[in-house]
Amino acid sequence: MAHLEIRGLAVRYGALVALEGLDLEIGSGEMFVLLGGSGSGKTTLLRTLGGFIVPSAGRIVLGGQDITGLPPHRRPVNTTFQSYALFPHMSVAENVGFGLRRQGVARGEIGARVSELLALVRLEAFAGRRPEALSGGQRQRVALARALAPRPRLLLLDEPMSALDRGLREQTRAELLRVQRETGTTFVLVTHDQDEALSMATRIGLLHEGRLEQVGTPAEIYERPASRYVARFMGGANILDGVVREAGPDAVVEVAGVGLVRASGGAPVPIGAAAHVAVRPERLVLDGVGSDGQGSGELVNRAAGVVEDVAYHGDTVQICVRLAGGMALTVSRPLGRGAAGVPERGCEAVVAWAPEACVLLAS
Amino acid sequence: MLAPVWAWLLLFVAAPVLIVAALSFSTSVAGVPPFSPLLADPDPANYGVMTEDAFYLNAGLKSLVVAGVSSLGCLAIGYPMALAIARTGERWRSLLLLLVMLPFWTGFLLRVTAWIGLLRDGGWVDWALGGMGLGPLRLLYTDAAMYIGITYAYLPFMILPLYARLSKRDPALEEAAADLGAGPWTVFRTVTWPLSVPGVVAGLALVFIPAVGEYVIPELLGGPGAQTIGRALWNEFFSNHDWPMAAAVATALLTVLLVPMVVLRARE
Repeated sequence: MAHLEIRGLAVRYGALVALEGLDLEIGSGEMFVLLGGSGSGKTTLLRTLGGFIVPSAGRIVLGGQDITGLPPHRRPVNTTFQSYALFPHMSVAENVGFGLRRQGVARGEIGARVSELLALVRLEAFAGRRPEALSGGQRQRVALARALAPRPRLLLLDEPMSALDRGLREQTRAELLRVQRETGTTFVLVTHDQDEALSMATRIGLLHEGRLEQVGTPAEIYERPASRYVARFMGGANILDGVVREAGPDAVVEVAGVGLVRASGGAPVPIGAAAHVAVRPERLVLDGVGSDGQGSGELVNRAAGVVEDVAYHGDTVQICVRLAGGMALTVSRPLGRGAAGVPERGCEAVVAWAPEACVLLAS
Repeated sequence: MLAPVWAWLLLFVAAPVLIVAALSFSTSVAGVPPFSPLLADPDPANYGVMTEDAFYLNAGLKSLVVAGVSSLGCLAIGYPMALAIARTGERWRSLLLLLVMLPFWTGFLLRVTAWIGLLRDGGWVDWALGGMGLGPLRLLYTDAAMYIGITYAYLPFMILPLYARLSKRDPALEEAAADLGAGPWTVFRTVTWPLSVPGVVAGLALVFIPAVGEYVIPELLGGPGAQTIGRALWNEFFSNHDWPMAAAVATALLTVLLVPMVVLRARE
């Protein structure tokens, strides 16, 4: 049985639906990432798991115990808040020991456990400091130690990296993963950053408008998006809308302004039905500007257009090509040693891609 | 930049206090004005009277007790109110605060007099308590009436600084405490209360200091035996026409109140 089981969970505020019909199972020791844009319901779900929101319907079962009706202070669930919410009138050690004091743990034992956790997050030297005397990254680690101290059966992390600058974020990801491995605690992390989700998660749950669009491993979500929304959200895939002309593993889709597109990935869609073809920018190739073939398969799909925009990203360059039919495709090219030149804005180009690069999605 | 501030303080704060202090060292004479010329012949005799006659010391202690109990009464009533207002949604907050301040829009004397009607024998409070089988109870012209009156009159001075502090609190801190296993009372004890202490201190100071010198409420609601320092001061001025003695009482009172304030400031 799953460690955490969510069944038919719904949160509604009058006519406003924040979460609807949510079913989810999370295994013990997972690093589960809830991913979604603002208003997707990811924070609502996290707060419902923490006990701060009472669901309108559904059940939450943790380790075989139904916790749906339990208030926050009776749940074996702890949270690191987005603002960290460290107690400003207590030292770092007192903050970390707060949950243990509530459990009535003996004084000596609290001291030992606090030292253990401060060692885990490498803040032994800061035990006596007040939170205000710490940097953002250090505060984040205190919040993590404080939430882990009472040995929760589930740790919720609300956008733990959002208040940190870029360089520190990378470091903190590794740090979080290490702490999770060492403690074996089940983590549920909320983020809007797909990069963060892909690099950290054992599995990702992508939320959109209060519903789970797709649940899967990072590779599944990225390579086999289940819907147009997932394809757009993960890596900003190009979406071509069309009608299926040939079904089966090697489908053919007629796309207005492009012509026939061969797609060999994705869900089966019957002939005559409307469908979307999703292609990631890095799987598109600009013909005539050094064709360093990306991925496998023959570049049988082709579309001609004009380079409209070129955006430099350091390691890659994003080229926006406006097709004759009016649609725009984004092509991503790596910029490395030996890579061919970057096309000029306004020059003509042919975009090509393999059927294997396509994911067919039912409309 | 600070010059206008200093000029203002000198004119409206320092000058009157210094005049009163000077007056306390003169002697009472029959005539207009009823005191010997200021600073002509400074005489600390009035302070001698105050230390020798237990009446002044007792009145001073009584006032400190009355002010202390009343400030704690204000805190007990004002804290839940301030917290409730701070937890109310934006929309209602300003209305609730307006209602807290609304009594200031009518005369202070009128509101204290209204309490006479409420507390007198056969008044509303007596009648209501009688209805519950608790009576007849003598309330008016007792210490109880005085405490009720002072607590009532100074309550807004407690609520406003408390509200100012509590409205700035971070609700995430209370959630974090609950998340870590603290029940509602423990959340209050370990997070809400300790973080509101500066507001509590400000509220207590704003109630306690004027309440020590309060004259009108003990006079109108309190018993004749409730000799507070405010009443002693009034009597020196208006019954005995001993202005220098009244000035000495006022100066002594100011000194007694100033010391804890200076200590508090130094601690911050």
